[in-house]
Amino acid sequence: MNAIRWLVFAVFAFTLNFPVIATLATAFKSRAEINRNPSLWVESPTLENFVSVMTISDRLNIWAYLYNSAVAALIGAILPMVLSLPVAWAMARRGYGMRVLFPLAVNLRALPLIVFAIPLYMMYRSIGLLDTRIGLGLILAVVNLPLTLMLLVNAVNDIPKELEEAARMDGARLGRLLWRIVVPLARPAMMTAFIFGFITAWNEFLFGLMLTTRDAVPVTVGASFFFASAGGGIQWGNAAAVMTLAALPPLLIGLVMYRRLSGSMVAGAVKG
Amino acid sequence: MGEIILENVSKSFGQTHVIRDLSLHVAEGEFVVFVGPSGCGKSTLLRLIAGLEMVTSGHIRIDGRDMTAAAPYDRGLSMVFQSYALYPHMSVRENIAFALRTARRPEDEIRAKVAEAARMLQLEDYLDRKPAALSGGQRQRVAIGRAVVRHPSAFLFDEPLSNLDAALRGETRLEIARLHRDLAATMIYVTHDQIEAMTLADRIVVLNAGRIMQAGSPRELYERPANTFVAQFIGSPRMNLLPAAAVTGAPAGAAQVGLRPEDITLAADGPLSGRIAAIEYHGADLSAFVDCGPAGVLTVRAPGLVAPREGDGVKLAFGMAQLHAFDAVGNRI
Repeated sequence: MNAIRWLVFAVFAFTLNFPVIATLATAFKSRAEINRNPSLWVESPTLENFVSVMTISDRLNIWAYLYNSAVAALIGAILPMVLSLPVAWAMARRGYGMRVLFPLAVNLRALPLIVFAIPLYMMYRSIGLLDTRIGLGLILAVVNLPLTLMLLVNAVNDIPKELEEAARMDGARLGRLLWRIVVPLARPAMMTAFIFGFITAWNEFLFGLMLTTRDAVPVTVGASFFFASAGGGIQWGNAAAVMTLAALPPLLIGLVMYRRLSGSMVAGAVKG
Repeated sequence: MGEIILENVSKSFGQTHVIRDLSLHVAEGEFVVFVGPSGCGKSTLLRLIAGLEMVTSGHIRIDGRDMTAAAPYDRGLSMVFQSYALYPHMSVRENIAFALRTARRPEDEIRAKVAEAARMLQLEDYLDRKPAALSGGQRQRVAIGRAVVRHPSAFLFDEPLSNLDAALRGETRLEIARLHRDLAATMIYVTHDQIEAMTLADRIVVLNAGRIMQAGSPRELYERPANTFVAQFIGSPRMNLLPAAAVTGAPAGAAQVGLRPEDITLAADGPLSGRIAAIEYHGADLSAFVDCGPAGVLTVRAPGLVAPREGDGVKLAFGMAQLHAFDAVGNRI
């Protein structure tokens, strides 16, 4: 019985992850082997694709793309949290904007991003934000804002009101109340918002393509440069290697921070 | 320190009037208990005093200063919540110290005051634990400790024992009484449990529908209830009310008379007679529900030793001095 269960599990895991496994396998094959051997089994594993990708040329620089992505994704994940927390508190506790602003902001997520592309490009050009990491980070923050706001509004709602009343009796004004009571108790939600925000921002392609040309190119866009880097047909090995590298940071962040997500922060606050 | 005066205080939430033109003077060092049925406004009244809600009209004075519009902290009061409301992410030590840290007191003063509160409430062994690792009684003591360290001019308790089991409730009740004796501080205490009210209070304020029905010492309320509401609210089992016509020799002008179950005895002869409809045995005593026909069903509290049986015909005896007389609208005569 157990064996069957494991077999089903293995088949499922393999099927679902087939594209990832295929990419990984390709990344470790030499150019000759890719042409000859389409199977998932790598006959003579090599790091030559990675070496080739990591080598800085005057046209291509994977490290710069990774750095750009990291900076823009961090801005895109952290800024919405900083902006949303006070808003979320005012919405959840005071009811400000719960009728119109909140649904409006959350539904912004449903609009195709391309709608913003043209006006944004012109705005960015006039204020000099084109091809800057901050400019890319700012627009990624806008992309992440609705989800972050929604998560934080729910998180503040989940904090028992008595805790805030107790803090007010203890003399905490709004700033201390938010910083010492709300932020620590909303931490799991903030972690969630950060992880989802970072991953969304890291994987974003459209604005990266539109708003950057040379200095602030993120790795999603930069990776596509490698496909034909040596000229003459698509370099499958390079493409696979660069995709593997680009996928690592969000994966690692997810794994490291996942453990912090679990566990309720308000256990023991009220009731017995 | 700790005199609280409410002047014509009203509170409405939209069209709902929760507190109606209520005035009350709480003297320095007094232990006042607000009791009343749920929804009577007792918790709201406490929150108005705390500053967690703002009055719709009227004034609140604390130690002679008008605090009607003051923020909670500026009123110099501490509150113990029904749900404890401990900060779950902080240790017991940090919970108790939070108010002092907020007030930017020097570190050594904070340490001394936390140690003092911990000693007083026997929390010394738990100072580094988080609230989740404490029992209900310990959590309640931390909540009290958090209130004590600030040396407030008055303590506000919002049903602090209702989440504890019966044994712990009795224990904590004694502890609060001891705290009041030791600190000699003003305390206002909200409960729906009349045993807590009777045992703790210097003065009980009985509330109903946002108004004070009567304020007085537990003895006063028990012996001379001002109206039928207080008469039936204080005392357990509750006072029997019967039409004055059913009792020969009832005071003139009385529409109803009240008789406490403990003032009635099952006797060989008496002015009322009836049949025992049901019996509740409590151990030390029992409650007999006697159907007296036109006088209604009367509760009689008898010693557990006597053995009346359901269906027995009995006579009820009582002293005329024990009779409480009320007029047609329910006020004491």
